[in-house]
Amino acid sequence: MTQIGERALVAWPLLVAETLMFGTAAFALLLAPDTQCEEMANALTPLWRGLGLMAVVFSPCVLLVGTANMGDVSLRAAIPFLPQVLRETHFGHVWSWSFPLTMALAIMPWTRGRGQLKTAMLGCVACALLLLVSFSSHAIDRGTSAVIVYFIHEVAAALWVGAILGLWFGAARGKLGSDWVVKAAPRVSGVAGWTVTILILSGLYTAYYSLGADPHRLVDAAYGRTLVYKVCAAMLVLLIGAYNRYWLMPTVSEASAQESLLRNVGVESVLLVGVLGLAALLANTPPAH
Amino acid sequence: MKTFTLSIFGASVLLAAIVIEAPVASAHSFPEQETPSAGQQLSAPPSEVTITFDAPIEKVFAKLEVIGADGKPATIGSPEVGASALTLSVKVAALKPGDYTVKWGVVCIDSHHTEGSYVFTVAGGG
Repeated sequence: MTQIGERALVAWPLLVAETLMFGTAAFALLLAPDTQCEEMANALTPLWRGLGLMAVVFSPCVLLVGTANMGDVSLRAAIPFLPQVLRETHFGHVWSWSFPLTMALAIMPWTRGRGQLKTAMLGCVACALLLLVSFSSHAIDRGTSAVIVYFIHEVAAALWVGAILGLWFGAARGKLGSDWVVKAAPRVSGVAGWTVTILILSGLYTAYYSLGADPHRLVDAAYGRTLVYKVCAAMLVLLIGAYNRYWLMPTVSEASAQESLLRNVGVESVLLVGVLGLAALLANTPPAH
Repeated sequence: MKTFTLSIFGASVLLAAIVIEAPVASAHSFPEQETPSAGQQLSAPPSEVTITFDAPIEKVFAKLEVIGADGKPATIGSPEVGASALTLSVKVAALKPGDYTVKWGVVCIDSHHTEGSYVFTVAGGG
């Protein structure tokens, strides 16, 4: 496997954990129908525990594989370089900030306490981690505005996937009932609308700076091809979303429509986790040059 | 209406960002300028070799070697990264006429490794 592939493979679970935890926490706090944040947090807690553990396992892997790639050495040979990388490189500094936050993210879902406060803290920590991801991305080479746009892209993606997954968890795992789905589904649909708008705009910005104005690079460059795959996968999710919005939503109070909606939402969630994998690959692929 | 307003706002912010920043296809550090440059024929030997990159580089793992046609290194000391973190240079011994290969390897601040090589020539006297 190439070094790019290795880095993407270990970055993917970490990105999935941070994105889903922020997105679902935001859903529970801001989108789930009123007075049901507590129930929503309870339904999401097993997911958060699993994702937190996954993040703690993969965070050191990201440091090790990153160091091996930086030094162009094997994983074993990279171990002696770790202190120097942590002390002297931007990547090491960002990781030094990220790891304690990742630990906090893993511990929080296991603590007792009020669901709403715990959810808010969990969302804030996951958001800080997403910000740190943008500080160690390609965007850092292009200055502050590129980092801000990258972060906005991440947040929009997290809100989108969090809303979709939150709806599925609330209905399927939380068993919050048909009325809850009737209230939550239009909110998810609304959020999907504006987050996708932001994703398209911020994605266009990043693609413009990474590929220039040359459309051939979408085919000729590895970065361009990965971007095309990512956009195609996201388009598939959008098509399912459009079907949900225009065909199923008008009759969402009916049991059959609700069943189809939740099935589609489950498929969308899985596809979006795949899109995050392509995003991790893209983040580790050299832009066309 | 809210969605429309948000979209317009987002588009304006991005448009402003694109206009303010010059388009540079960077990310991962690649040479922007080499002294001596690739393929250059020099009438006098250089005292150092310098590469300017298009994105900041880390001091850690920065490599710059000048190798003669006989395969022997012609550099003196270790390569140095400039204060701007955009240049990498190394001093070279008095080079005899011939072809020299410059091999470089750097890590961009986005933590990604790039490397490459090129050749320049020191022309013979007379």
